[in-house]
Amino acid sequence: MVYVVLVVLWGEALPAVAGKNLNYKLGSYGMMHTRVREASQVGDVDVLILGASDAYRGFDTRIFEQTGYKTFNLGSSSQSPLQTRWLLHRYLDALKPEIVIYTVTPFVMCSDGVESSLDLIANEHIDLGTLNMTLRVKNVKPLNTFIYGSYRQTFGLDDAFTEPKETDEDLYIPGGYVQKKIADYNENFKAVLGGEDLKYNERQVDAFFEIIRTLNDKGIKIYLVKTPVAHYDAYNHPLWLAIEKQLKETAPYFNFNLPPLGFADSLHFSDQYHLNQAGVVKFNQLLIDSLLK
Amino acid sequence: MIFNSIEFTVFFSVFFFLYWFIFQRSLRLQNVLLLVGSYFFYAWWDWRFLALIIAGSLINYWLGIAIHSTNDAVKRKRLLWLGVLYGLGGLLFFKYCNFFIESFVAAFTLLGVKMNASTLDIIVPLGISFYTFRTLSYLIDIRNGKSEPTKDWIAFFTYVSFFPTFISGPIDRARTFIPQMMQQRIFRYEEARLGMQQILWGLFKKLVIADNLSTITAYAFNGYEELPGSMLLIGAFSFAIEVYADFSGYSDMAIGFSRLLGFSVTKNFDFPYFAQNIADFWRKWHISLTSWLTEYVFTPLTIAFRDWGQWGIIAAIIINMMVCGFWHGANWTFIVFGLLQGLYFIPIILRGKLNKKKKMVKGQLLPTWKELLAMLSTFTLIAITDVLFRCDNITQAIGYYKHLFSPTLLSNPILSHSFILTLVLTLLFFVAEWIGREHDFALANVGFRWPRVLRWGYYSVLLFLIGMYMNTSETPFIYFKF
Repeated sequence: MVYVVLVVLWGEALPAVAGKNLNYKLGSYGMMHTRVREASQVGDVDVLILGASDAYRGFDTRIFEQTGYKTFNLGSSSQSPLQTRWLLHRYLDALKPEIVIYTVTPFVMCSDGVESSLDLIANEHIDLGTLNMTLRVKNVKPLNTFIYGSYRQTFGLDDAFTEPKETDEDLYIPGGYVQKKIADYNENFKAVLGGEDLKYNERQVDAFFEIIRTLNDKGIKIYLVKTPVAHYDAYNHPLWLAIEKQLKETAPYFNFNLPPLGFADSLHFSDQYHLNQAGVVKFNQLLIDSLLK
Repeated sequence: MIFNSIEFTVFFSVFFFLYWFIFQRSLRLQNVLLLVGSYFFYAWWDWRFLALIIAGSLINYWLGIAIHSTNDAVKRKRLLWLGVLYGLGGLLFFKYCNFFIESFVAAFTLLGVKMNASTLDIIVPLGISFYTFRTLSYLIDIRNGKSEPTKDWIAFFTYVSFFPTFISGPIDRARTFIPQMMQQRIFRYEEARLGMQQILWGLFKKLVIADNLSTITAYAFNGYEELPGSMLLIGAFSFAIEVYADFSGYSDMAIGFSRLLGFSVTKNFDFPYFAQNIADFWRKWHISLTSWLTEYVFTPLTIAFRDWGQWGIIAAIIINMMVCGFWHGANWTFIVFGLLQGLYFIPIILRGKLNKKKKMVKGQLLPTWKELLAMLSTFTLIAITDVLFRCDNITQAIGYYKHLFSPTLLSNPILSHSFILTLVLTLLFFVAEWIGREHDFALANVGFRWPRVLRWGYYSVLLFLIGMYMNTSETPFIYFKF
């Protein structure tokens, strides 16, 4: 009890920088606050997009709508299978998709799930399901954030918050897509896959297969997709090759990095992991032509 | 199963319940439970080496009885050597084999002879340096008539594998541990409370101080070629405090868990960074190892070199410190680290002050300027030498020193918010250590006479500080690799 009180006091009294393991940020990087509120009102959809930032920055719902597919993009920052499972549990029955497109990266399979859980705790409605997801992450940071978030939501302290739909860099598009306004390729934002100490997180792998089972049980068609990245050669890592092999055995898997698709760094990317709008248009049309049509 | 894991919390809770509530009626059963629990704890890490522990315990148990039962001095000596060869042989094979192969090849390459020798793919059994020293002291003490062998094999096997201290010490002597196995243990609330406090303080040291400092240390040591000397100095200080908080935090937890089981275990640290010279520092640092080395390496060497006067003592201390360095790991960095530590003793020995214990500043709120200067210079010397301890090889250490002692040493270091927060926490940690320096551990006397509500409030605050400021990425204990 003393612990709970101290977390609340700390969150209220001290600047964010002083609360190392308390990270409650409303309206975070991927505009999740707006997205989840829209998700609860949008109704039935044809296509549901799931995944990390490559999902919410890579699938323009307007392009899907133009070809007759009502689409909702439920991607979120660093969304790992632990959070995807929770989001599905919360929104699957409301959205009733016929098709799910689920983006996969080696990072989320190895992720501890902390960053994404913080995003969801701060921007979603907190309930027992949130507590369950928080505990499964097994990290004190989401737990502190959950305690503080519960307090704020209980006393309605965030009710007046409205997330801006447009920032200097991003524009929120109804349906959950976030369009990057800057088209230039930022070469400095680079990470080499082999340079990181990648290791399977068993909890993420278990959650991933549970997601596939859930979708299969409900008769929902699922496509696993690797979105284009600027330096796919960096993905030549034994772990990613092993993950890919497993993905192919699990569900229809499409890798949009293989030749001759012709995505070019300066033309189609804003950084190593994300497409710019020109890239998104090209990628989405390719995807719709090859998968949905 | 590390102390700060959920697995260990569950294991210890179940064990504690069985130990005090089910098996308490019979000392024998309680001891059997201790042995089974210790083997379970070890098997959780790697069950394959359990056979090695059991075989080692069996051989040393038998050797202990054999040494004691014969009056033939030559036979006693041979039996002891058998035990020493077995213990050190295992240590040399598992821990140092590849080091010797690589050094051998490097030496021949220097002489212009090309050699093709491949290293072996060896997994070092966890805790090998610690339990080997435990068994060695047991046999040497029996041979020297300082203690008698135990006939209770469960007591001996538990002494070798006692789970709170098995992985990283403290290295208890059989003569202090085994008698505790023979006495009915009574649960004492005061002792358990102290144990819990010490565990909590150990957790704070490890999770908040050591693990957060590890980020600064890693930043400095991984990027030393690009960073200014001032940042490298902070990195060196950071590592010195990290290694202290990490290892003394572990020791506090080990001692705390032992206390909860009714055992008194050797104190391992006595606020070493308040030491005022190098000899004083080594009397306060990793006490169970340094006292072991003093008894079984340094003292015999000073006797052997007694004809050389002060230079005999100097030779003995240099060898002793090099053994101490080499014990930490199979790397030249540790040997050079030990050599330097030995050399630092020379002025003290030449002034005849080796055995003069510097009194800890007692009863004063603040040290005098002279004391403060002595403490800071000792700490700086240790921190600078610890660079060798942290580097992967001598080349890296030389590179680090070159960049550290460059004109950029006087530049302004660039510190992020999280670095500054860590430094503030470290400063508060030292204040707590300073205030509690006359006790077993910094918080030993805090809340001793407080009402229960206040005391629990204080525990909660400490728990909160751990929860709010711990480093959330898993960082293994530094001394586990030794």
